[in-house]
Amino acid sequence: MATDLELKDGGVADNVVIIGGNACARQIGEKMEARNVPVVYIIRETAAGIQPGANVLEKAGVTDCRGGVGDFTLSVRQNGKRFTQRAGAVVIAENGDLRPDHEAYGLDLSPRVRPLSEIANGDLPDTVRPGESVAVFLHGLARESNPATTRTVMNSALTLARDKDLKTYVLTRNLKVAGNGLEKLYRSAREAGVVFVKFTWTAPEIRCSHQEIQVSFTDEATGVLFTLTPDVAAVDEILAPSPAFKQIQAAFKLRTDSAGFLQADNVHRFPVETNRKGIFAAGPARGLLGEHAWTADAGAAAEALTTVLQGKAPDSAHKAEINRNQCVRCLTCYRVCTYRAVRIDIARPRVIPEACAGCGVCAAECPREAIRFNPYEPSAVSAGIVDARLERSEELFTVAFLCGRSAVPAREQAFRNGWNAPPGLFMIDVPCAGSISVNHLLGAFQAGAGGVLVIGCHPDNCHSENGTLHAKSRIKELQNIFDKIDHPRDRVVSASLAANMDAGFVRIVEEFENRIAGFGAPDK
Amino acid sequence: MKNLAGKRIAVIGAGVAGLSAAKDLARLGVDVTLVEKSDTLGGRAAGYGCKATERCVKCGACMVVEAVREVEASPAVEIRLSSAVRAVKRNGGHLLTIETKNDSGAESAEERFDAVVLATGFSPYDPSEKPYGYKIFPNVVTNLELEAMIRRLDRVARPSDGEAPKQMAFIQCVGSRDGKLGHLWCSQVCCGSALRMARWVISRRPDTEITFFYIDVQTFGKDFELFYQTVRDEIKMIRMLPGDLYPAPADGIKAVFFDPESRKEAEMVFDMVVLSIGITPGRENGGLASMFGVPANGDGFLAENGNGTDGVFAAGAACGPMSIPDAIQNANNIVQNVVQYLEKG
Ligand SMILES: Cc1cc2nc3c(=O)[nH]c(=O)nc-3n(C[C@H](O)[C@H](O)[C@H](O)COP(=O)(O)OP(=O)(O)OC[C@H]3O[C@@H](n4cnc5c(N)ncnc54)[C@H](O)[C@@H]3O)c2cc1C
Ligand code: SF4
Ligand code: SF4
Ligand code: SF4
Ligand code: SF4
Repeated sequence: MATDLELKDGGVADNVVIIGGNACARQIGEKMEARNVPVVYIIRETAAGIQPGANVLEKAGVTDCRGGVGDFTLSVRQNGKRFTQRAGAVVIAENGDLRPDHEAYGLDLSPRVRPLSEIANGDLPDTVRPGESVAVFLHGLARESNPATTRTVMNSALTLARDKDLKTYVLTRNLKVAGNGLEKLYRSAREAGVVFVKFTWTAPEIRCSHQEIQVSFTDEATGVLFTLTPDVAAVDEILAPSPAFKQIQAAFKLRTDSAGFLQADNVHRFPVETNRKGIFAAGPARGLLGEHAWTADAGAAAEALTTVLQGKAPDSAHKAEINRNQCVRCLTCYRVCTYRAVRIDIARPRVIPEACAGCGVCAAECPREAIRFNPYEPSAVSAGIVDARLERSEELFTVAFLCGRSAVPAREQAFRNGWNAPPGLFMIDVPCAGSISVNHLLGAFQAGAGGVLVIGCHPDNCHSENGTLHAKSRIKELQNIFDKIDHPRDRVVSASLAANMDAGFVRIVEEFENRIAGFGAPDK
Repeated sequence: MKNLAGKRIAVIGAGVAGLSAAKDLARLGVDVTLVEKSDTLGGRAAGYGCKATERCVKCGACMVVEAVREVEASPAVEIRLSSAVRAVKRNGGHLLTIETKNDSGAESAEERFDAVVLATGFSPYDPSEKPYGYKIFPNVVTNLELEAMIRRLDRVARPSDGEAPKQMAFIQCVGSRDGKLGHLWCSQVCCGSALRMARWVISRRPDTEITFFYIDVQTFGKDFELFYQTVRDEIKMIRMLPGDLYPAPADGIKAVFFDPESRKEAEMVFDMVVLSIGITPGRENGGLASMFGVPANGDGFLAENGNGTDGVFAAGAACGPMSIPDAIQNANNIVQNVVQYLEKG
């Protein structure tokens, strides 16, 4: 079947591979199929719920993913067989584990102590008697909750109080009403008789024996002591990465967040991007709960897939290139590339241009200077600095390397605000602070700079994840050299900024200029 | 995709939602006209500062700069600043009368579009009607004003004397979660905004004492648990909103509140108070709803996805409280629906 997409020239695979078979994954698949884009689902379990006729590899997993956007090759394992599957783009919408957090309260699951989702599905113990029994929701007590879980708690509590006529309590700390309609739902639940008890500096005491559960607490507002013996208690479920996430992460070489979800906690990846171009994470794979969030993510993922399959996603202007004759195959470039744009062909590294984001980190890190990254080659940049020095008559000459993502937009806004750059300062715009090598820095000093400033993005806000950290370690290297030759180490300075910090940019430059002025012009 | 070249879309409002929709549609080969009432791009969030401390705290404000830059660089987006839609006619397409202000007055033109995205955002709650002395006591400011200070000055200055405050208070939920006002919604972003700003202030001036008056702290960001622990060590958290604010010596402000721990009336004096005003429906939502035939909900927010069957969509905070990342996600999702609509037509 021909796709309706006008494919990018040179794109080999025109299909989408979806990892996962839940509601989020299915919505993405349906949207792409409506556009006549071939879809292949790869699912750990069986294909239950996926529309008949869909192309599904069930009980299957991906063990490796090579190539770049438009032309990925996945290694698949299914029933002990191994084969490859091409993909133009991939979206991972794998389910996480919903784990009940009863242990946090010292409880065991039992007919009385139930995970929230079971209560939400109306699955109550036989001992529950309408009009008499007590139900308790232990919600967000052991750890802070989230609006999606709060929605389920309040809907379930409302049903128990209104339809089953149970005495229903929700015990919580901070009630998470930051979701559409939740404040209203909270009020409806209270009107229906649900009692919400909020704890701030105390916590309920929960005891459990074979016969009963006992929950005692002091109402903080009145100081009155309560003891409840609920016939049913619901405990929150926490969304955690499933064991499959580790395998997916390794197969696709994805950066994860601190919990292990398959998207780094970096605002530039929001909503559905990962560190690899053409590979997306949606819904539970990036730690989201709730129908509304899954639907919105499905739309955002379909939008992103459509854009990349047509080759319409923005691309970087400059690409790294490895000079095979200089390369000693240390594979540093392979390790440092956040975007996984370096592949290894028979022990030789090669840059995949479609995957390269043009950050220049590999070129700066290569111990053999075997990677060309035009037009930011240290020799070319240093020649530019020499010219700039010649054009300037000021006694004190300084150089600033500015990250194009953060410092450059901040400077441009500063200019629009009326800022005048110090006349002795020469500014060099680079794609990422991580592209600056020790050679770049030395080049500036050799050209007569009294000081060098490097501005990158704040940690955790770098498009290349570690650009600023790489720059910082280069600067340390140079400072160690300075220490040995008795040169003031603080003539080289690093700082971090965000794109909206025009005022911060001006402050950092001023502080830098003042500091270098204090050292005076360097010895010739 | 069926050929979308030559299709024309009007995106109304150039906040982060409108910008995201415009750049995504432009990437897909659609001609976009971006109609913005004010004279700059970026909407509200373009005025927010970076709250990073030792690392980024994921407030999302810098993403707006990025979106502005991409839209400005895109040849497929025609930007109309100081412009608004005055009339809408339906015949085949959507015939919009767009009025643009200029030095000599205003100029109007009628143009045809295949679909429209309303991304006109929200109006901040006006706290003048609350007993908090806003616009009366000089050192009572809104969270939006504090954001702007961080953005423009890179520091916090008391309006009365330009000095850094030593005792600051944040009052949450001003104009949100308020039955008396009929505002039965949580604005979703003000807990995050306030606590990030509070931590930023402390990181710059560790001796600042900050008190946080609140009802419930909302979760924001993935590392919320960790962030919240630090916050509770650094900031005095009082789970009660002050009833009234009174003037105190040296342009200070006295807060009177019922202290939940002692269960007694208590007072504290601050040299600066920040009101966390919330998100309310855009003032023009009613007019836009009737002009474009888009349903609005009982609170006055536009229906998410607008009136999609007729080619008028809505996105971002025009549809209800949402954060910057949510507004981007929402706009991406709406673009999907716009494309589906265009493919059918
Ligand atoms: C104090 C405060 C702090 C916040 N802090 C954060 C934060 O730290 N992180 C976060 O994620 N979110 C934060 N938010 C939320 C954030 O402001 C919104 O998510 C974001 O502004 C929504 O973008 P939008 O494009 O939908 O609307 P807006 O930003 O409101 O943009 C709407 C645009 O449409 C224009 N417009 C309006 N009407 C018309 C018309 N009739 N014709 C033409 N143009 C029109 C407006 O001029 C404006 O440019 C905060 C909100 C507040 C109030
Ligand atoms: S870092 Fe340089 S030397 Fe090492 S493998 Fe890569 S190109 Fe070759
Ligand atoms: S320039 Fe950056 S993205 Fe490209 S190969 Fe090198 S490290 Fe990877
Ligand atoms: S997301 Fe917010 S805190 Fe992080 S760098 Fe951007 S503006 Fe700063
Ligand atoms: S986000 Fe926090 S301050 Fe804002 S309305 Fe919700 S609970 Fe109140």
